[in-house]
Amino acid sequence: MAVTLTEQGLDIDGKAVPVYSGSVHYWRLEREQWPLILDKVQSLGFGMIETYIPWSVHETAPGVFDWGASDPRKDFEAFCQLCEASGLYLMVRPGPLINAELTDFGFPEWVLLDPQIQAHNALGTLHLDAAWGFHPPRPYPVPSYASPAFFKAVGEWFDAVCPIIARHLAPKGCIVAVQSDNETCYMFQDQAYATDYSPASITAYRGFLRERYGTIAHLNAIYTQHFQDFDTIDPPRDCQICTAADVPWHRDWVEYKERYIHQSVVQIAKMLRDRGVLGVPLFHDVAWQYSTPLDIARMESDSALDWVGLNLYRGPHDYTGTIQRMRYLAGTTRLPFVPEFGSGIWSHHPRTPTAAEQEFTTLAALMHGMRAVNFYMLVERERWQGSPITRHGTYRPEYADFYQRLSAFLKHYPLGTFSRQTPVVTLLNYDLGRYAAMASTLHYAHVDLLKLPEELGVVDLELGFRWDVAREADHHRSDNWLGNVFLQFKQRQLDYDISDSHINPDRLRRYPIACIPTVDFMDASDQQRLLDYVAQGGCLIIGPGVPSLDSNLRSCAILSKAIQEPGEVAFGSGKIIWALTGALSTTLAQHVPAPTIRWDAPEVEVVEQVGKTQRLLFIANPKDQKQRVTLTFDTPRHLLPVWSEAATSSRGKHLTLDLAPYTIQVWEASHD
Amino acid sequence: MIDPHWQVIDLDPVTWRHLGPFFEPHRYIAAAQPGEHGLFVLHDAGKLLRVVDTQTNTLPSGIPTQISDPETLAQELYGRGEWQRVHIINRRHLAWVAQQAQATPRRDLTLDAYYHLVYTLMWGNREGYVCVPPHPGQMYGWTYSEIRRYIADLPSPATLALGVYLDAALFIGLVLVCQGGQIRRVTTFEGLNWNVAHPGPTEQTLTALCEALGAQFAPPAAVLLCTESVFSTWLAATDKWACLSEARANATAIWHYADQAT
Repeated sequence: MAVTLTEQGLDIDGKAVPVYSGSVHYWRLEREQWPLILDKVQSLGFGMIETYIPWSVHETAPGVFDWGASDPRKDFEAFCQLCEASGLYLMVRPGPLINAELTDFGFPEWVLLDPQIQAHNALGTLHLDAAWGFHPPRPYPVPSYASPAFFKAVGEWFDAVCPIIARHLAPKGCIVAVQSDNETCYMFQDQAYATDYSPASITAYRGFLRERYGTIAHLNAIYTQHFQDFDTIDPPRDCQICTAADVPWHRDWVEYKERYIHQSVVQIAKMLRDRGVLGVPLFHDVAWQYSTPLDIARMESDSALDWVGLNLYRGPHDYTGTIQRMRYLAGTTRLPFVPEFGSGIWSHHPRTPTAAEQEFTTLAALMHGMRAVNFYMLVERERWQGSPITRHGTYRPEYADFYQRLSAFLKHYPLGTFSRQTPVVTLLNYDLGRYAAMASTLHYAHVDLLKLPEELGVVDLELGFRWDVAREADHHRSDNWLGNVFLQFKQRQLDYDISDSHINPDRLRRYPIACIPTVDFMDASDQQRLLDYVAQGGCLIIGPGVPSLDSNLRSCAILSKAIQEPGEVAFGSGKIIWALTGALSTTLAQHVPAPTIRWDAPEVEVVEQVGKTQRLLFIANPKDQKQRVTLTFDTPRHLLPVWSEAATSSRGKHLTLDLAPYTIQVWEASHD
Repeated sequence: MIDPHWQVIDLDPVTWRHLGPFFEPHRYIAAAQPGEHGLFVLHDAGKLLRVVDTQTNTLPSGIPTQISDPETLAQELYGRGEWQRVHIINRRHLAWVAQQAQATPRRDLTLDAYYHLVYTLMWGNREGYVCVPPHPGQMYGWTYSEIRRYIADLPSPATLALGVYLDAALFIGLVLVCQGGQIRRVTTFEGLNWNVAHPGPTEQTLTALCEALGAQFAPPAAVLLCTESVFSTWLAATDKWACLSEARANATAIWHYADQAT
């Protein structure tokens, strides 16, 4: 490949290039302004930009394309040529799903109105995008990605756009990465019983069951049912679990939805490759989810895709959500990438970020592992505001100043070349996420508008489990096993990564210690992967229970054969520790290494990143109150303020700072 | 009233940050106020499914497993004085609303009309979702029908503008361009070619703004300039004319209101 993905960014014809990019929508900017705007982009310190190539904008009628003949702003090829002349790299996103606040999300209307293409909800009617959330200015019927007619239409669009992309691929051209669909799960397929129940999707679901079980007799044995053939099986349309025997039917539907999204993204990637998009990485971006039906670890392990990122639109008040996602990316993906990092916000969002808020969230993401970023949007356009450059090519000084400082900082401390010291990975139990998805209800359109409490959509199941599965399945609780692990790490001032039980084994082996919440059941292959990790020298901490069942609730003695009671057991070259929730404090104190930096303000967070020759110390105050903090190092340090109002350097074993609310300071550190 | 291809452009981030919290569609449809202590009882055609108290894990006594009269039950529970609002929700009603709203592609409906349809379906049936006291959804005292009628009755084209000032600084500067009963363009004062020496709720600013609107977009039908304090009071006021009249007398608000829009 002319362009390959590395752990630092992209290798473009032998040259290491960081993915430090911003979005510019050519078709929304006056053609004569393009040169000025790209100059402003480069003056802000960006060498790479990103753009959608919107289907509905270019295919103005079936088979009729406007590439600038009618509207000069649509001359995508000229835009590529200008990028090449300017020395800018370009990432492109040809859809088919765009969003971009476009009317109908960038789908041509005739595609959306084709009954063969429309997705259905569990009630048998259409699925309109306005069913969840608020997406002005017009509701539209969501397409089914299970529909062959949809992919035929996508193929015709790709037939038109891919030759242009192919002509401008690096190293000869400017295009260095291409996206395979955008936020495929975004259209509300994350709720288990919301969609897609279209005929095409139900056919695909039955094909999934056929592939999984081979014979109807095998399925009937698992389901304890008497289906005549696969074509007589209908998916569950709500949680109807009464006994353990009902679980496989529901679980298969949840897994089918994972497959639905995965296969859609892979199929689109293959369609791009088949049409000459070769020699550059293909990536996908996930809207915000990192549990079922999104399976980022498995998606990235598919050879059709090079790279998966997670978008981020969060403010300072959601610091925890921001850093959890960055830790997940750092623990799971090849190059922790935020393909859409909110820079400004869409016009129907109730809260426009200030430049100070933008700074805080960006530094928080860098601090916790982000190594590649595309700021969405770098240049404003219709239905978007709060970016550093206006559509007229002028700077918004308060925002532009931040990006100028950030670019200078990253030039000195290159993005992707610093790494955090994380001896521990905390794995989310993917099967617990599936359980939560199965045991939920009220997946009806517009329920979210009512602002009902989330607990109302939880279904209590009595399945005779030994451990409180529902409680452990809630990743947001602070009083379950996982919540206690996170709390202990915070109290011990330990930085860590997050992934899930589908983590790639090679990746898992990077961590000396792995923690995962476990209950009565777990997929057999996931159990085996964890046991293999232990056999090869890993330290696995599990609890509050040990699985003795597989995901279909059938007897499965893999982990339970290795450890039978709470405590520690040597296995192969490693060990398994079964820690009850109440014993976590002691267990982690015994096994987790002590940090080399301590600090006295519990609300403050400190992360040290290590580069080839330099170390960076990020010190965050994620609260709305001023914090005074004193850091104590194991050995004396020489500290130089590099993102701080402090004017002088510091030397010694201690550093005392006053941190303003929602601010992050960065210091360069070296051992004295 | 929202053009499916409306232009929302040249948005000053300061205006947008201050404006955003006032115009959330949830405000109109939501079943509860933010932070409210509520009791939610979910049932399926009378069969009790789930009870959630938004502040405690302790479930109240006296909720029957079979609910025959949701209105009476809601009144009885609210009468205990433990909750600010009691919700008795039939799951089938929520399903019915979703089914009705998505029966067809609805290409004939603008987004606001679509959500109004949802609102009508959701709250038009007292049995389906019983709320005591009634659901609080509101848009500062205006109703959807009033706003829609107002936009429809405007000359075509026409502009509406709002200028809110905090001390000498612009807090909100909003411009709407309407045509044929629909909002076609949304922009801010940043999108205007105008210049005024000391902007504020003054005759001079009002005149300059009206001239700029007329020259650049369309004749102004209604323009309000006021202080931030007046704006907040005006939104919350029951008698909005009285509020503005008092502000005008205090030189903290001034407006232009074309005859046809009165």
